[in-house]
Amino acid sequence: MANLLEVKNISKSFGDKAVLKDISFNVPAGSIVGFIGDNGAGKSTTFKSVLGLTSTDNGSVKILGKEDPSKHSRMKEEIGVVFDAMNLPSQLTIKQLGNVLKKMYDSWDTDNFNRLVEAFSLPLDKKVITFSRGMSMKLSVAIALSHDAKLLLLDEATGGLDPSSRSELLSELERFVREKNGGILLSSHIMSDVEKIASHLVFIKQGEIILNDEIEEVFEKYGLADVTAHQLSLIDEEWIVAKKDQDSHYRVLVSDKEKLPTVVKSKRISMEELTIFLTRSEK
Amino acid sequence: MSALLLTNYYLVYRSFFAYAGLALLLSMLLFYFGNDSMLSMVALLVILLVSMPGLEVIKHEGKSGYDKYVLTLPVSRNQIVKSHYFFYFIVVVLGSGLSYGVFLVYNVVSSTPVDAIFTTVALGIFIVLFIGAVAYPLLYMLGAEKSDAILLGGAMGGLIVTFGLRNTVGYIAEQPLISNLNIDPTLTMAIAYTVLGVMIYILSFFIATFIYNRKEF
Repeated sequence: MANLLEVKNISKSFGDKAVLKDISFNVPAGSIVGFIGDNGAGKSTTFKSVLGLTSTDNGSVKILGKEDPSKHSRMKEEIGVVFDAMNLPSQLTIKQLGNVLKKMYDSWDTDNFNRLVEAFSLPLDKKVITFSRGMSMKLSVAIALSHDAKLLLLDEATGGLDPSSRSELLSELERFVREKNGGILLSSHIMSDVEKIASHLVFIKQGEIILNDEIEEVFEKYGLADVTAHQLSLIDEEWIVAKKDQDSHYRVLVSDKEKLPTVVKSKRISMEELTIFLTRSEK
Repeated sequence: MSALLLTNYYLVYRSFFAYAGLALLLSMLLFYFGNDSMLSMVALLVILLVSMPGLEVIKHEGKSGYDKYVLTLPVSRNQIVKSHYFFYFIVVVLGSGLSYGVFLVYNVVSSTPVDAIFTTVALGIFIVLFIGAVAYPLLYMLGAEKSDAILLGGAMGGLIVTFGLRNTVGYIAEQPLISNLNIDPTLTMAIAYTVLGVMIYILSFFIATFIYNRKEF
């Protein structure tokens, strides 16, 4: 399976503060990678680095096999982007935006854009400035899905949407992956969305990737268990994804529950629990 | 680049027409109520008012976050800068045309026609091109949120430089090489101001491109 996006050993600092620490992950074709982390963990900086909006100190980014995407402007035809805030020209209506994008993209699909605008119940003649955050997000997604993109980079695209709109949007994303064998990097704080559609999980914490695996592997092979200090010492560091000192014992997440000491029983873990544990734990 | 130019147009066309209407109204009032010394002000006023919406493009883009989003579209950073400069230049040309037209109409209907229209309009062209030349690199460097201060500073600078250069441009126009061409001296002044304005604007474009290519978002 070819990778549509390859991020290799990226580091980025602002002054003394390291915001990305040697991060690496891939987005294979036909996959949806859930990119999860607290506010300030480094998700948006990763998106900006991938898109060349900000420089990196080290590492490389390959999109569709090419390095330094910012130097290949036509290649951006094949990337759809939604940021975590409203970023469309505020004085334009959807009709005017459609006219602009038709000139912008060689492969602009007016029919699909109109279909999505209608499906998302967006008004054609109102200025973008009058839109709520949710409406603006839906419009951004409609644009990202209307120019035959192969890779979508969605930073908090489902934020601010009501449940029905979110469900509709997630269906469109699944359809994109299924029909076009595309890839999506999706950051979200809404774990039910990630659990519903992601095929891979990448957790970032304080600029470091602490978990990077297929979602099926995570829920089938990973195990969360409460262990004593002695039992913890029996587990090889290699299998420990994260641990947390609970005063009387340790809670530990391992990448293979078979590697836990035989007397220790692991618990089934939900997406929500996994996220909370990873964000509050230490390596 | 046509898509970027169309976006710029959609962003400010309402202001453009509103300012153009206001410029025409003020010109009529100045022609009717003002004395002769105020007539050159009309040319400057029309060009300034009509050109200002061109510089508002970056302000609108920054406010809505489109300045970041546009970099994800299939265009290069050079094309983005080019579209800003080219759009503003078109607006300046339209403003100059309108300003010249206003004087032509005035000369037809007035019993006291205005001389040296070209020089007056060329002064206006120089000032607005100078404002653009100062504003764009600073807007890319300091951000759109400082746009009001930058535009004000650019306008003040433009006025000061224009009147400061008056003697220099006059001196150049009087040089034998140029004066021997037997061209109307007022036309020579007009050409000198316009060429100087365009040269400064082009130089500014290269500086702005350099700045924008290194800008982080």
